Amino acid sequence: MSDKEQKYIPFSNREEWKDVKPIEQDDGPNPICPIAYSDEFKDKMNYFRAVLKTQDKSKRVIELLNEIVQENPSNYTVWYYRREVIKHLVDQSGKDSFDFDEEMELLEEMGSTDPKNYQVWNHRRFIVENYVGANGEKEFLEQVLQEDAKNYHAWAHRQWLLKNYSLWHGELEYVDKLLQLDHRNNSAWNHRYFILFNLHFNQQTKSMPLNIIEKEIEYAFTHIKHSPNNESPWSYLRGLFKGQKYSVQPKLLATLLELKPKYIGCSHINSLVIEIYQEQNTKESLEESLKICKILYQNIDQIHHKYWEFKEKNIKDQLERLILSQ
Amino acid sequence: MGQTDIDKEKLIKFLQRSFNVLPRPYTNGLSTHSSLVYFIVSGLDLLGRLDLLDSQKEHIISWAYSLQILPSQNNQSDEVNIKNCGFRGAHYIGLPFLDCRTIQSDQSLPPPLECDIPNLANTYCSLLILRILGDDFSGINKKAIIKSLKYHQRPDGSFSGSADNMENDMRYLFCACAISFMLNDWSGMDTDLAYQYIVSSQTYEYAFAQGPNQEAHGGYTYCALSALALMNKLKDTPHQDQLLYWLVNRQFTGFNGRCNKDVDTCYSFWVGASLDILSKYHNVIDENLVKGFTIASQHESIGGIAKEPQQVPDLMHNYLSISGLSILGHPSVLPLNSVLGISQRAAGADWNNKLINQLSK
Repeated sequence: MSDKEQKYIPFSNREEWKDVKPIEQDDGPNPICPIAYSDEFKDKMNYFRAVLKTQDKSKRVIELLNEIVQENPSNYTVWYYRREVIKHLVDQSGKDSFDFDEEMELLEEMGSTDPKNYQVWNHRRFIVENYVGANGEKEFLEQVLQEDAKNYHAWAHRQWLLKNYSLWHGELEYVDKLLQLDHRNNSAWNHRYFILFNLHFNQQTKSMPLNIIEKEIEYAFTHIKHSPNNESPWSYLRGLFKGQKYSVQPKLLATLLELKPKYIGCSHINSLVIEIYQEQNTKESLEESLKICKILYQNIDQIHHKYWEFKEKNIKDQLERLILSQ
Repeated sequence: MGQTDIDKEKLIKFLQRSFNVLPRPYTNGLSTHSSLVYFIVSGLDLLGRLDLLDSQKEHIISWAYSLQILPSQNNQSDEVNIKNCGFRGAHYIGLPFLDCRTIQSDQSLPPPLECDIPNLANTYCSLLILRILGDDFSGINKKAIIKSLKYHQRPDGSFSGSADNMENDMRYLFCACAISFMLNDWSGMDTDLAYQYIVSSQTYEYAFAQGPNQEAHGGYTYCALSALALMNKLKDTPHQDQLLYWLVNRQFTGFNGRCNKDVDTCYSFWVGASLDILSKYHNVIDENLVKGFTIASQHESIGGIAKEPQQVPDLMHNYLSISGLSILGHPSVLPLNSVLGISQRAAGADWNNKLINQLSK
């Protein structure tokens, strides 16, 4: 053992826990699929059980829980009890009696060692919402996203912050910065959509206003031009039309057809053209999209060859229905 | 190197070893112990070797029943812990081991501990374990579990893992649906509201997220589609063509779970099962590519399947990979009921008929 590592002191040897009688875990006569816990972890949990039994909500319990969450951060009961203790201490002696700076430090530390843990993020939200407020949260998130720009929990926390504390200022610029760094950061694309959705989405027509669509098409294309095979901006572009037809923006097809000869190996542009042709639902447009399907499964997108063959069949059916109806 | 197929014997050994004892890195699995047991029991079942657990079968059933939280017996009004009836994940809160089937109706129990809290994921896993092992649920207090579900649904239609928890999302909505389906009682949830939540979580990419506004994700898409199938509302899934396109684009060799992320074996289940629920998998997916990626992710000496090649296997990725092999039609694995996450053998004709191929009926 290195000098730096502290030797574990069992709770039975700790003065402040002298009065507590530990309780062992009882898995019955035939424990199923036992986990090889360390003796230290068993010791901590034995005292946790004792605490639950007596409903001890004193300050020392926080220390015990600190040690447990390092090894079992997913334990929802441990976090539940931690919230109960905090509520109790604050009720009893006021907010100042509890060291929330230390609480945030623990969360910060766990946020970087275990950044994908649901319970840790959940607890953070509880503390921010009830006790310490949103000050500094954006800065913290920037750090987390610097480590992993696609951390799902961090983005969820950010959305919650923006909505609940109206911290929208500077958000589009932030997203833009992240997308300049990495055009493929789909979480950032999603966040951009979220911001615009909240600012502009028309709840009556259930769609985005046309002027926003126009601007955002342009934005998507600046990124597409940088790397045409990047799925994210294509997905974003298509999503702008959720709830309405591509035909509201006739310029889009023209732009696509102009770029198509340049983007020879790009499946995304071809699939979008097919979608628009299918929406047009004319004999010419459907025949044209059948040709593109063939190119896709024969050359451009062989990984998804079965999908494009499936699509071809669907379009043939569509064409047949069209001809029959005429 | 260069294996041409899954080494089934090694997979079975990996599961048996895990059943005997889980190594220390699983310490964080304590609070969701029943999910780990489910991964092993159901894994052996899918590999056609449930017989290896014959001598342990009654013990596992007894253990599962010991995890059930019953309504307080010494309070006739049922209100003391009615929010908290379901299954614990393990025995860590300090209660004595007690197979709840052995409790006599006139036996008075100590008052419930405030912290004796179930989690919908644990309830879901325990029910699956019991079903796989052939238990008929006669020891389950269905009424209490269904009653308790009501306290888990939020005004937006989503569900939280525990009644007093704020962690509410698509995962627990799925669990609530699976529990209601398996116990054949939907009175514990507002399914219209749940449907609304699913629809509002369909993103501009046309797949589903953990909740409204979040990023489209393979795991949550599975939860959403499975929930719809369980509620018999799959036909009402909006934008099915675009959703199919998104799912198909997750495939490279194996699947990734989000746009522009790396492939990972667990998505051969999350994405594969989503496609299976939509009855489209074999129309659109290159099975050999998925199979090849899964084989490459099997650890040569340990035997289990990891999240990607050259990684250490874990029970979750291993189980989801086996399930993924079943979906692609691997002959060594029994057919899967993708909606519930167990073999069709275990689900039985009744559940299979209601859930499988719902869209093509």
